[in-house]
Amino acid sequence: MLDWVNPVIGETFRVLSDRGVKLDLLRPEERMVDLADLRVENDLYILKSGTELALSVAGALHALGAATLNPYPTVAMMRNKIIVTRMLKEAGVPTPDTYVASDPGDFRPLLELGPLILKPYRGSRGAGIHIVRKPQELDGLNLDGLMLAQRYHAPDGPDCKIYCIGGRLFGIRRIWPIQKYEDKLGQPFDLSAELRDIALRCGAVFGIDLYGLDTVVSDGRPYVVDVQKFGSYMGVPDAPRVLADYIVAAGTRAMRGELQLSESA
Amino acid sequence: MLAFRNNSRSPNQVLVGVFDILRGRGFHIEIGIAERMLLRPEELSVNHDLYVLKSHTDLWLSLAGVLHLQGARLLNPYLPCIATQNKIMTARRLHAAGVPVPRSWVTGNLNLLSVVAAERPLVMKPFDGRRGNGVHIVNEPGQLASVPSPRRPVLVQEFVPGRGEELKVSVIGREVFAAHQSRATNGKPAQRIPATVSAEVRRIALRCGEISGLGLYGLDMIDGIDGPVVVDLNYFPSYKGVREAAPLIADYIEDYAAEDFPRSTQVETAQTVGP
Repeated sequence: MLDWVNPVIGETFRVLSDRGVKLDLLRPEERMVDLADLRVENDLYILKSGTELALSVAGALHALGAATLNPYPTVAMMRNKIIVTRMLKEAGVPTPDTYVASDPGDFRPLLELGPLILKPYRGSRGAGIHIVRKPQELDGLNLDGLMLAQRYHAPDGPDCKIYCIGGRLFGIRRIWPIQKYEDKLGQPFDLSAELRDIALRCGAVFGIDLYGLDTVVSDGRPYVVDVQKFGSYMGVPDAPRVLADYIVAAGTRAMRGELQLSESA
Repeated sequence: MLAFRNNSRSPNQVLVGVFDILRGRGFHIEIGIAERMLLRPEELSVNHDLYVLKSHTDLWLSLAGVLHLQGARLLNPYLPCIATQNKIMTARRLHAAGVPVPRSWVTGNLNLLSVVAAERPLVMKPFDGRRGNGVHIVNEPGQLASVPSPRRPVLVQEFVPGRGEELKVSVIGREVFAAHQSRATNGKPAQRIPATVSAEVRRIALRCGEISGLGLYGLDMIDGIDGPVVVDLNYFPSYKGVREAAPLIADYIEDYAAEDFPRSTQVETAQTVGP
């Protein structure tokens, strides 16, 4: 289930097809789904899409017994940045100080101590993110609903993306915000022991081993600023083959009924 | 102390009654009130034996999620609450369990609806809406053009013509109550007139509780040509017009708190108030 196909995912699908895996691409936005006809028709559903509609359809499939990658309850929970922040704290993962308010005016006093990054509490792919430095900038923002404000830590260099596929970790340095396509690919780098430890803790707290995270290193200290249920894997060497291996293994487990379908993550 | 409450509304009188009864039985109850507040999710931890989730706001559902993941006990339980909030998932689950629901569709492209709109009137509801907010009725395909393109998913349902007014069904454990909601007219607010609960309505209502995992919940039903049809399901409804509600809810909370659990002495309520 996806909303768009990045080159890594496109290539992953080609590898999977070559291995005889039958793939259906589901984009519920672009069809009319009669809910009564919605049935579990595949051995495994891969939740790549970030849309609320796809997630709702995935939730309905999950309730009907579908195996989903990652597990639906975990994916649903990971969309909520308030929950994610608290979980990361629980796991001992360094995050910027985080505040929540329904009225962005409530963030005003926090700006005396430095800039903030404002994010919608449910969001993906950087949509609706603003860096705010001065109180008057809050007035000009067109914000809707519950917001998260995180302390802005000026990065020492490019952001460090960390991707995990079945426990294997990959580090990519990438500038933010992205200006052009080459920026998306970034530069692979060797992860320090500290970043490895942080990345594995993130996966462990959500009980998944297919994910991506964004870290910022500021004054030599890393902070996790975002976690994705299924990364883009752009720039990861040999990503399509590694992903295809992982998906085939997950599909095999799903067909044997071994894939975790736990209700509570 | 955690709470988020809109002070512009008066508190739900049923809840006030419930907490008076529970306090009288020796429960320590905290009701957090804060109209404007800044929260630190990192600092949120479980301090109470039981959390009663009345609110349906994003903020309270998020905090309930944090508490749930830390092992807190919530009433209703957290996962059934978030699943019920999603009308798309709920419609599919109820249908799969044999509960009568209107025919339902989802799409991100309203143009695709013109074929079904030509065959029947449709009701479009935001997938996570409450109290009829954002609901559109489409009587013929031409009206689709005037429906604003939704930013959030919508559940599209066949409009079910009903005999009489919509039936508001409230459930407390195994107790089922029903009322007809009259329309607000000439400045007179809508009134709820208690109605008899037929065997069929009772059976459907209790089945919805089994499927959803909720114990305190409400249903909107329409008395259609082929019998009652469920058009909405909510956790912890207002219980407006249910005279016996307060003592029954108090009993339900007390039993729930005692279940597989040491005697509970503290109850905290997460509520936004809605009359």
